[in-house]
Amino acid sequence: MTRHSAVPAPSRFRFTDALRTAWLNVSARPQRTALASLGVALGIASLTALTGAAASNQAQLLAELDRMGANLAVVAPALGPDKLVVPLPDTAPQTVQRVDGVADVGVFETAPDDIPVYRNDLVPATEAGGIEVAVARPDVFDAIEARLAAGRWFDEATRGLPVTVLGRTAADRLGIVSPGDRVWIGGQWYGVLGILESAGLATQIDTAAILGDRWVRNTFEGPNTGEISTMYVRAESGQIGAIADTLASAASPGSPFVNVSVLSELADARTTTDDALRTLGVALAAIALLIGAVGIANTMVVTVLERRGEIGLRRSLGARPVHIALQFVTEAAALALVGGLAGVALGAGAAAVLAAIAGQPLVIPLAIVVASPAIAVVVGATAGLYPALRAARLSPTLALRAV
Amino acid sequence: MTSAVETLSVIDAPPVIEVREVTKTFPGTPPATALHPTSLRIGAGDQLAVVGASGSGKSTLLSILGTLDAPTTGAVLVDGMDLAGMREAERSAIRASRISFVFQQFHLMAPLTAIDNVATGLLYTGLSSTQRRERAALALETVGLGHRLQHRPGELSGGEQQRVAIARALVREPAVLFADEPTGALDSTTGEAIIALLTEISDAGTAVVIVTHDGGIANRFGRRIRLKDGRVTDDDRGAAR
Repeated sequence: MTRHSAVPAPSRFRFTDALRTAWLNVSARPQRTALASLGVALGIASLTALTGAAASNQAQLLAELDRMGANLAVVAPALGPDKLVVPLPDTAPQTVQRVDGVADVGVFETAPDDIPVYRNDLVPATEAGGIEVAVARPDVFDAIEARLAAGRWFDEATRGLPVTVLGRTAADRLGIVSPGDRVWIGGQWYGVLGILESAGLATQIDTAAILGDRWVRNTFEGPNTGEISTMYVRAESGQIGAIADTLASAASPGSPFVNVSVLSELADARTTTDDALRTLGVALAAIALLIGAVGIANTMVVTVLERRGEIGLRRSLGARPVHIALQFVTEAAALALVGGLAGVALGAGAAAVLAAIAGQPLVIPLAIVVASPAIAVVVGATAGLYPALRAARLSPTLALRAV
Repeated sequence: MTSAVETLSVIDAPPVIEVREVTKTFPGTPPATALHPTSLRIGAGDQLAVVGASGSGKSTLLSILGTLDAPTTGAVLVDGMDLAGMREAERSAIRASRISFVFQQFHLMAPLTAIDNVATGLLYTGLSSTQRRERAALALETVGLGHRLQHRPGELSGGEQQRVAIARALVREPAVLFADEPTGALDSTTGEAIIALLTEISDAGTAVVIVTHDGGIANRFGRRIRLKDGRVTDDDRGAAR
């Protein structure tokens, strides 16, 4: 009779079996699973909710600031050494438009000198009301993302007619409430074509009576007529900082006599706000996850005590201590994964509610959705390590005792 | 006394498990000796009943024979290999391939069906889950539960649960099956059937070692060792029954 002359092949525990065993124990006792994974669920939920709230907030803030003109730069000719304006080349709008990150360019032309704006021809000349005349090419409307309170903007026909589009403040000061009224500009009647909504940070537009470029060129004689007075350059979202430095040379290559101003430093404010929210999210999540980890560790310690018989049985079936440890670490990770997935759903729901209440677009960063279950698994496995090692150290003879 | 055990050992086949002068002492003041020097050989197809009162050291002897516990002194040999110099992984490998247990409490896993409980017996062998379930089904046939494959422990009687546990032990095709008070949680009629099943198993070539406090059950086995206060007081090779 032949005998085994060598130690048999080492016992094995397939990882898929470890996963299956873990899932079996997690799913067999839903109440325990729910309680044990609650902390991790709350941790991941707060992480997801606050990161989502920050992202939603940022999305709204970005949209808002962009609408207010935070993504606008103003390019204007500067004075030369002789104290005379050095005009921008006529090609400046085209060259600026080609800069990467520039969404749109709108051009104001130099307005004729000394044409005051009045409600009608009876207003004393001294009560001009601080309303400036501006001369816009039609592309200004899109460049500053203007919105009309009433009426229309210039088109191919009306840019050559004696009509005006009033800025919000200008309309208020003149007492104009609807298009079709007339105003007295430079000693001549102009029909009101439209009234703009407030242009936000582009305050000069709010106080302007805007005339069509073709009308001005055909009507007024002047040395500077038709020259570019200012260009409003709208950057693509978030690109304003990147393009600001290149605008001057794009507008007038080689010339130092170009002014570029970014309409607001508010562009920076949005990042600080959201960093604060995100930091809060991470801090809350860290605390909740720590509590969650303690919860899972506690559950697993109890589980190991409860299942001493099973551990003994498994050892009697040939499981090595490392197999026992693997089983309990996997189970702890599975508990945490359940919590993590529930937390993502919970957090996304909370972020959705917050966004709905605040009227913000809902944004949940994909990275958080992907990372959360992974974070949960790491937290769970770490929390399960100590109980698992205790389980691995238990004697196989436990199976022989009444439990 | 231990030499008497040796001389009585007349089995010709090389032993599957052999213990030489093993003792077990638990630390404390004074240290408690659970097992005094004992030698024993278990060969293929042997039937052995270890009888003794509670605290007689029979569970300690079973743990050492079954490689669940290491003796304080003395040697344990499985297939002629001394376990003393082995790492835990090697001892686990030997346990996985040569030794099975049946426990008083069955130790079935409540969420698992009968067939999956039995397949657990092969969990650490490296076999695929399909292979494990195929062999589990056969083992359940062997113990007369071919019609209960998909039942969970809660849906089975005590006797049926212990049969599932025996199938889980048998599915590994062990050289030795240890049964620790296998009828302790069963009524006498059901227990009788379990004992009959265990003796059938030994007839098929698997050594069966049963630990019991019940002399009546012990008498059904070919060889009976009586333990008292950690010493073998009687080694009876008289005919079973």
